[in-house]
Amino acid sequence: MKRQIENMNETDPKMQKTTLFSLAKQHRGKLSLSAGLSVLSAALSLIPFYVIYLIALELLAPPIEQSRVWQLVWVFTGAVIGRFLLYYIALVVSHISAFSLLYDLRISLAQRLGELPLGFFSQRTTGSIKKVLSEDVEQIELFIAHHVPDLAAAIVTPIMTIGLFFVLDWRMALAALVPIPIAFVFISRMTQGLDKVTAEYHNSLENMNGTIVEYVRGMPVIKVFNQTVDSFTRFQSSVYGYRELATQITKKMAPPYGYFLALVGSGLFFVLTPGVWLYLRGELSLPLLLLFLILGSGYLLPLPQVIGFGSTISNINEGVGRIDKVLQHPPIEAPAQPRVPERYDVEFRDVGFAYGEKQVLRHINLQVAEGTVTALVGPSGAGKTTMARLIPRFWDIHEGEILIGGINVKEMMPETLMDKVAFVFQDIFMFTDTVYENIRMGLPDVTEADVIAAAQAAQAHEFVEKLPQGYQTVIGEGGQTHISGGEKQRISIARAILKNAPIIILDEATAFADPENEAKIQEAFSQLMHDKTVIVIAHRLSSITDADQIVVINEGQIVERGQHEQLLAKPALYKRLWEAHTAAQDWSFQMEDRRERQKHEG
Amino acid sequence: MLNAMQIITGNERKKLNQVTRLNILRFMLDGAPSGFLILVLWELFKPRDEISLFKLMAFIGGMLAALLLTMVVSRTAYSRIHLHAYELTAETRLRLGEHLRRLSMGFYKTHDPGDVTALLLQDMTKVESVFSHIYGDVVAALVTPFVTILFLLFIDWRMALAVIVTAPLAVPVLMLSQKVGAYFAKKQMAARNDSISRMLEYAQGIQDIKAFNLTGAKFQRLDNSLKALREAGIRFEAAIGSLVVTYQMMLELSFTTILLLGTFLLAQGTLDVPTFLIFLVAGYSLYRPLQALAVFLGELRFMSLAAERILKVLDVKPLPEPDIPQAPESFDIEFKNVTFRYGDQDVLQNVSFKIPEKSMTALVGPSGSGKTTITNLIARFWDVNEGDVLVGGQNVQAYTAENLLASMSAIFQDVYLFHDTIYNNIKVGNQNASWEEVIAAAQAAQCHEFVTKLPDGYETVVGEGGSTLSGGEKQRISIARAILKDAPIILLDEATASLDPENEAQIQAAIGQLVQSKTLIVIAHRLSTIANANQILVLEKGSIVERGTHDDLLAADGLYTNLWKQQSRARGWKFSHGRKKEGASQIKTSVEREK
Repeated sequence: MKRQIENMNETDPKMQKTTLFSLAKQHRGKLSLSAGLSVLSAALSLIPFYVIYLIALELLAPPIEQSRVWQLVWVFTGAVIGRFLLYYIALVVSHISAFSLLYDLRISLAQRLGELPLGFFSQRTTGSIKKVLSEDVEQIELFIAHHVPDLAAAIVTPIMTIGLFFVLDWRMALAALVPIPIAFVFISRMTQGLDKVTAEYHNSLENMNGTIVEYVRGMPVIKVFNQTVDSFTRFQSSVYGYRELATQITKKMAPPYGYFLALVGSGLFFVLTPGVWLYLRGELSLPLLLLFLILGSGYLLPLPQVIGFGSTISNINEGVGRIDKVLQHPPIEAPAQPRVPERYDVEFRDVGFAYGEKQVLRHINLQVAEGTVTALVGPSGAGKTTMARLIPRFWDIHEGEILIGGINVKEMMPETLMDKVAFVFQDIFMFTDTVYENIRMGLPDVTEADVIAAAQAAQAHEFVEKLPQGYQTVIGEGGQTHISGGEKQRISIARAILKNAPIIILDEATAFADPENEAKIQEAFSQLMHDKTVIVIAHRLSSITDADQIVVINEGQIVERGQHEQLLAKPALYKRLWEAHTAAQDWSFQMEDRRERQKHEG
Repeated sequence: MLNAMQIITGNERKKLNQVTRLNILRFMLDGAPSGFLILVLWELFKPRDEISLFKLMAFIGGMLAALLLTMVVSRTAYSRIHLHAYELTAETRLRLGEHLRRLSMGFYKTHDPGDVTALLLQDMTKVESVFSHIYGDVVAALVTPFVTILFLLFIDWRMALAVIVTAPLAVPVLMLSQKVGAYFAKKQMAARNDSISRMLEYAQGIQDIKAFNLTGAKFQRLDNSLKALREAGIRFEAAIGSLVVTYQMMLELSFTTILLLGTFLLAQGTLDVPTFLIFLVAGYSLYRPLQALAVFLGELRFMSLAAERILKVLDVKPLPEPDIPQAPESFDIEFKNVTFRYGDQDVLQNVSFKIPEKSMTALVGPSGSGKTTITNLIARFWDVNEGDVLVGGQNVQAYTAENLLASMSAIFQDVYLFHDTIYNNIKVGNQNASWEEVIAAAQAAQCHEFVTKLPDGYETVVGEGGSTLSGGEKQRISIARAILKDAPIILLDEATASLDPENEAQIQAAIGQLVQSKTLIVIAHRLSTIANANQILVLEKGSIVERGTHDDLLAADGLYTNLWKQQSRARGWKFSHGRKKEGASQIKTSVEREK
C-alpha cells in the first residue's frame, strides 16, 4: 500500500527511468539475456497446459495409447525442468549483472567523489554521502536483479496466453479480454483525487521521522531535564498523526485494490460462461474448453506484479536522483596544459568568494613569502577558514586568482596541487587500518625508516611503540585499540611530515588539549613547519605573536596586517582581540567564598 | 514471522485472530471458482442429452455470486489488515518509544543514535510489512492448496495423494534452502557491513584521501571490500536460488504421477474420465501457491532480521528503580570504593572521595583516565560494579532517575538543540519558567546579545541538532538551560569554556554566573582554571593517584606538578620558524603572569 502511495507522489518518472537505464547500459547485454531467458521460461510454462489438453484429447477418444501417455509425460517433464532451469539461469545472470553494476556504480561514485571540490562535502553530512554510496545504490540491485526477469515474465505471460486464445478461438479470446479494462478502472479509482491526501501523508511521515530523530538524539537532554513525558507526548502525537493519514489513505485505496485483487483471481469466470455456451452449441470441443478453463484460471495473476512494478521504479527514483546528482556534479576542472610550480610563495589577487548568495570574502589581496609563517586571525565567521581552504581548491573562486609560485592554482593538475599543500585540520580522521598505514597513507617509495622518522618528529613514536602491536596496531573506528584525540592529532601531523609538502595549512586545534598532549602536539607542529611556507588559522593569539605576518580578517575583508607589536600599537580590532584573549587565559573558576579570600590576599 | 508477530501484537492477539479469520475466508473464497469449475465439468462430461442447462446456469450464477462475495470480503480483508497493521505498528512504536524513555543514559552513550532511530523507523516499517503484506501471502499460499487438496481427497484419495507425491522430497529441499540461505545471508551481511564501514570511511576521510591522492579504485581497501560484496551477493543468490528452484520443480513433477496413475487406474476401470480430467485441471492449479511459498519465506527471513533487532532493544533492562521514590535533600557527594568495568575493562578501580556541598572539585588526568566516567556515575548513567555512589548521604540507587537528575545539571561538549525556537530551547531547562526568567537566564549566559541579533530574536527556529548556530553559541544556550534549571549540583567539562576561543571570555563569564553556590565538579583540561578548587583529584588509569589543593599538589611534586609545568611551557609556545629572538622573553612573561 505504502509503495503504491509513494508511486503517486512521483512527478516525473519517465526522465528518471532513462537515467536508470543509462546506468545499466554497460550491462545491457546480460540484462537482455536474462529477460530473454525469462520469457522463454514463461513460454515453457504454457506447455503443461497444452499437455493436459492433449491428454484430454486422448481420454475422450479411447482407447488410450500407453506410449502416447509416456510421450506426454516426457514432454511435460522436459518442459518443467527446462522452465525452471532457464528461470534459474535468468536469475543468476540478472544477479551477476546487478551486483557488477553495483560495483561499477560505487567505484565510479567513489572516483567522482574524489574529483569533486572538497566544498561539496562541507555542504553535506558524511551520513548523506554514505547513504548514496550504500543504500541508494543497493536499491538498484533489488530492482535489476529481481524485476528484470520477473517483470519480463509478468508482461509476456498474459500476452502470450491471450495470443494463444486468439489462435484457438477469437470469441473466447475477446471474452478473456473483458476483465482487463475493469481492472484498470479499479486501479484508476484507487489513484483518483489522492494528490492532496498523499501530500499530507508525506508531510506526516516526514513529521514523524523528524520527531523520532529528535526523540532519540535529544534523549540525553530530555532525560537530564526530566521532560521525557512531555517529549513522549510529542512523539506520540506524531506517531498517531502518521497512523491517521495512513488510515485515511487505506480507507480510500484499499477497497478498489481489494476489488482488483478479487477480479484478478477470478479470470476463470470470464472464460467459463462463454466457453460453456459455445460448447453446448457444439462450436467448441470439450478438450479445447478444458484448455481455456485451465489457462483462464491463471492468466490475470501477473497483473498485480506489473502494477507493483511502477511503484518499485518510483521507490528507487529518489535514490537514482541522488546518485545522479553526485555523478553529474562538475568535478574540479583539470587544466589542458598543466603547469608545475617551482617556488612556493602564495598569493591572493583580489579574491572574492561567495557560498551561494552569501558573500564570504571580498577583495582579498595577500602575499605569503616562501618559508614564512602567516597567521590568519579574526572573529568566528570572519572568513579565515574559507580563505585557507581556497588554497588547495576546496572551492573554485570566481573573482580574482590564487597563485602558488606565480602559477594560478587552476593551471595545476589537482594531484600536483595536493602534492604541494599539506593540511592539518581540527577534524582528524583515522582509517581502520594499522598505525603504519595511517601514517603512510599510500605514499609510494616510502620505507619503514621514513615512517618511523616521521612518527618520531611528530612525537608519536613513543606512544605507538607502547601500543599492543606497535606500528601494526589497527586503530580507527573498526580497530580494537582506542587512541586519544591528542594522539590522533600527532599521527595526522606525522602524515603531513611524511608527505613533506612545501606549503602547510594549519588549523590550530585546542580541543584535545590535555596538558601532556598539548606540549607534544606543539613540538610536532614545530617539526612539521620547519622551512615550510606556513599559513595558520590561529585561535590562541599568544601562539602566533612571533609570526612573520599576522592578517586580521573581519566580515570577509582584511582589516589589518603586520607583526604583533605593530598591530598592538594601533587601537583596532587586533588589540581588542588580544585583550580579550589575555583576560580569558587568566580566568579561573571562582566560588564566592574563594573570591573573598583572594581579595584579602590581594 | 513469529518474532515479528510477537513484537507487533503484544497483548492484542484477538485483533490478529479476527484479521486472520477474515483472510482465511478470503482465500477459501479464492478457491470457489475452481470448485464451481469442477461442478460444471462434472455436468458437461455427462452425455449431451443428460446435461441440465438449469444446473449449469445455477453453477455459473453461483460462480458469479462467489466472485461478488470475494470482492466484498477481499475489500474488507485488505482494508482491515492494513488498518490493523498501521494501528498495531503505531502502538508498537509507542511501546518501543516508552521503553527507550526508561532506558538509562548509559544506553544512549553506547548506542549509535542513528541505529536507534532506524529501529523506530525503517525496522518498524519492515515489521509492519510482514504483517500487511507477507502474512496474508503466506496464509494464502497455505490455505488455498489445503482446501483444494481436502476436496480432491474426497473425490479420489489415490489420485489426491499422487498430486503431492513428491512433497516429502520437495519440502526438505525447501527447509534446506532456508538453512543454506541463512548461512549465505550471514556471509553476505558480513561483507555488506564491512563495505558499509569502508564506504562510511571513504566519505568521512575524503579530505585525507584527496590530500594523499588516493581516490577511487586506488583506495584499495574500498575496492577490495566492494569486490567481496559483489562475490558474496552472487554466491548467495546462486546458492539459495538453486535450492528454491529445485523445490519448485520437484513439487510440480508430481503431476507426471497423476498422468501415469490416472491412465493406469482408467485402464483398470477404477477411475472414470471426468474424475481424471478434474484432477488434471484442479491438481495442476495447486502448485503455483505452494511454489510461491518459497519466495515468501525468503522475504520473511529478511524482514525478521528487523524484528530481531527490535526485540534485542526491548530486552535491554532499564536500571532498577526504588519502590519508595525519594529525592535527595542535601547535595554532598561521596564515592566509596567504587569499581566500574566496561566490558572486561576496568575503567575505575576502587575510587573513594568526598565532595562537600557547595564546594568545587576538579578532576584532572590524561584522556582515558576515568574523569568523565566519574561524572557519569554521579548522574547514574550506569550502575557501579562494586562500591557505592552517594548523593546527599544516600546511595544514588535509592532515588528515581527523575529525582536524581532533577538535582544536577551537566554541561558537556556535545550540545543538542531541538528543531524549535531558541526560546523553547532555553526553556527546556525549566518548563515552568516565565518569559522574564528565560530572558534573564539568557542574559546571564551571555546569549541575549547574539539572540537579539537573529532575524526573529528568541522566536528564531534553529535547525535539528542546532546546525544553524556556532559551537560557542550552542554552548551558551546549554548554559542558559542549566542556569534556568538552577540545580544544586553542576557537572561541567571545562573544555566547553575553550571550545570557541573567540567567545572564550563570554562563555567563561556565563559559567561564572552558573556555578555560584553550587556543588561543582569540573573535568579540567587547562589547569590554570582550577587553581582555586577546594579539591583536585588527579586520576591515572582509573585510580586516584594524588589529591589536594593546587598548592598542596605543587608542593608534592608528583604527576600534577609535572602536568602543570608542561602546560605552562605549552602556553608560551609559538608558531614560528624560531628566527625571532624576542620569542624567548615573551615565554618568560607569560609564564610569570601565570604565577
